Amino acid sequence: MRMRKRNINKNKKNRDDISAKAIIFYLISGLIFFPFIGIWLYNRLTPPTIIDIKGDNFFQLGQDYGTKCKDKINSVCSVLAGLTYLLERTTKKTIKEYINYYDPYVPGEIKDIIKGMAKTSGVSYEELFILNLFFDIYPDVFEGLSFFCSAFIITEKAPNSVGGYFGRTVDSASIVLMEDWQIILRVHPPKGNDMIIQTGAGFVGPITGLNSEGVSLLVNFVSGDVYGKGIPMLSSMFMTLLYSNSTKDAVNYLTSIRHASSWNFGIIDKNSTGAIVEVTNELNYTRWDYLENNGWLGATNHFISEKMESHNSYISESSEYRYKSLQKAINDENEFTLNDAIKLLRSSYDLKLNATYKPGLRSICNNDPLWSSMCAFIAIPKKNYVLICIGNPNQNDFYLISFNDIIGPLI
Amino acid sequence: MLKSKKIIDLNILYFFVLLILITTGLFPSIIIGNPLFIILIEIIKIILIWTCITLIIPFLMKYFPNVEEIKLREFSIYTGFSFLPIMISNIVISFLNFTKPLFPSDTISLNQLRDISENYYYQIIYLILPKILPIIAISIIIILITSFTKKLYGILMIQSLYIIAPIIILLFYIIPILISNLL
Repeated sequence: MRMRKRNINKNKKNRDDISAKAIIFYLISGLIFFPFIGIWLYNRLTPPTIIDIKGDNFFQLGQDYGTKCKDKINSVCSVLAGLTYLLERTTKKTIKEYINYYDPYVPGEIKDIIKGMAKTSGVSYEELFILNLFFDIYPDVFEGLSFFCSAFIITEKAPNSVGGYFGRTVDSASIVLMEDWQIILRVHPPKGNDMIIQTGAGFVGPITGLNSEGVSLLVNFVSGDVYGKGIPMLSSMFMTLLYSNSTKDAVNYLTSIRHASSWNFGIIDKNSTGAIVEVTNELNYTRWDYLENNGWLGATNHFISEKMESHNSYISESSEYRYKSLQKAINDENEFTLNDAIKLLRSSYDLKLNATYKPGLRSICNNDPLWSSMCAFIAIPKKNYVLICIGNPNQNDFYLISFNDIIGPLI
Repeated sequence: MLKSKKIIDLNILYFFVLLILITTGLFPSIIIGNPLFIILIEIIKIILIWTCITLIIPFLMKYFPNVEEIKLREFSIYTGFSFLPIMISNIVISFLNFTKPLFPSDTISLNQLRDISENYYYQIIYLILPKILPIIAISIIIILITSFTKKLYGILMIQSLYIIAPIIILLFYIIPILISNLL
């Protein structure tokens, strides 16, 4: 009896020990796991940071930009220093030679903004200048720096209440660099149009944007065969949004200048006039929506038009399949609503497999861990706002951003 | 008689383990309407993860001084049942995505959009829950496998956690990437 009581007490003590250890274990696990979950949730649920920049002149605008984005600009440029070293070693050209080469083609407004940024951010003018040539010079040198963006411009197929709009994903193979560089700016320049732009810290010019006159603009990288002296992409994007009041203005400007490399520029205005301007250093061609007469236009990372398709230096399987996925999703619809656009931007549909699967680069929303979509953007010129999703659209929420407001998360 | 009853019981347990694994892999693909071969790939992925956990961890236990037997059968059954949280998470998320309200009508005002976005129930159920459930499911799997590894092999809880947590996290991320790249 005494032995039995002793055993029962011993078992009870063991159980108490185990319970105590279990409680300590769960508490420690909770302390380790939940802050990370909390931080992750906080980042997902707090709205994206919108930075308003303004100035009485472009130099002051740059100073404001440099002050408000100082940390990010410094972090971008510290990574860039390494890439710049590789660039010089690979091409045998110095950074100064690159600057002198492109300097005549960069507009005065851009140079003033960069000078202002250099004054307040602590990064030199030369480094910031090279940063703003990033998209024109680095993809040619570093094979891994490709882009996998998909875009569609909906004109006739848009609902009447919405008006013409575009949607696009922003992708990059150098995801470990690009995603942390992303910022949303509301630019209030001393002259010209106000803008909402999605870009990288330190870039003077958007990857995607909307101006206060209802002109929205996007750009997709193209592996074109002609590079040379011309205006860098980011500068041309900024100048287009700054002074254009319609798609026609934007097209006139983009076709009148010489570009440093090859791009697809997509434009739509509040009158639902859409166009895609395909450019190389020497040539350009405009695909007008009323000429193609499909009710929409699409662009990935190669030229589509007959005039320009021979100037694709390389058409990736990814670009082809994504373009066909756009055609499959949009062609048969009579009306393509904002819901359809959001679903398409989140689509992991792979046309080659004929299934919704999450591989790499053949779907509109890429989910590969190193090469995934880092932003989705829908510009609605008639309503004067944009829907932005920062991060992979499959895992993050859209926010509505206007010139005065930010609402969300919405969907 | 006892031995055959034990084998039958084990077979029934393995059947349930397989059912859990198949249901875990089935749900996300079947809701979207994917073709059969993608559904099969999802199921194979989960079974492969389970197999790897079942093979790696017991054989690592061999190197502990007080561990005499690998106890592969018991471990594999326990591990299979630990996939229940992931199965439930997959079913709930598939259901939530299916029933998620769409973007509000194009004609409503910004103020109405603001009211909708500030609706806490909408935020919690449709925006937060689908993101947090997979993390909770993996955390529960780690805790469950850690606990019964400790019980089964008589090792310390902390030793069990140090071995199991990284393996589980790696397997749940690496195997899907490998299979995706094959396609």
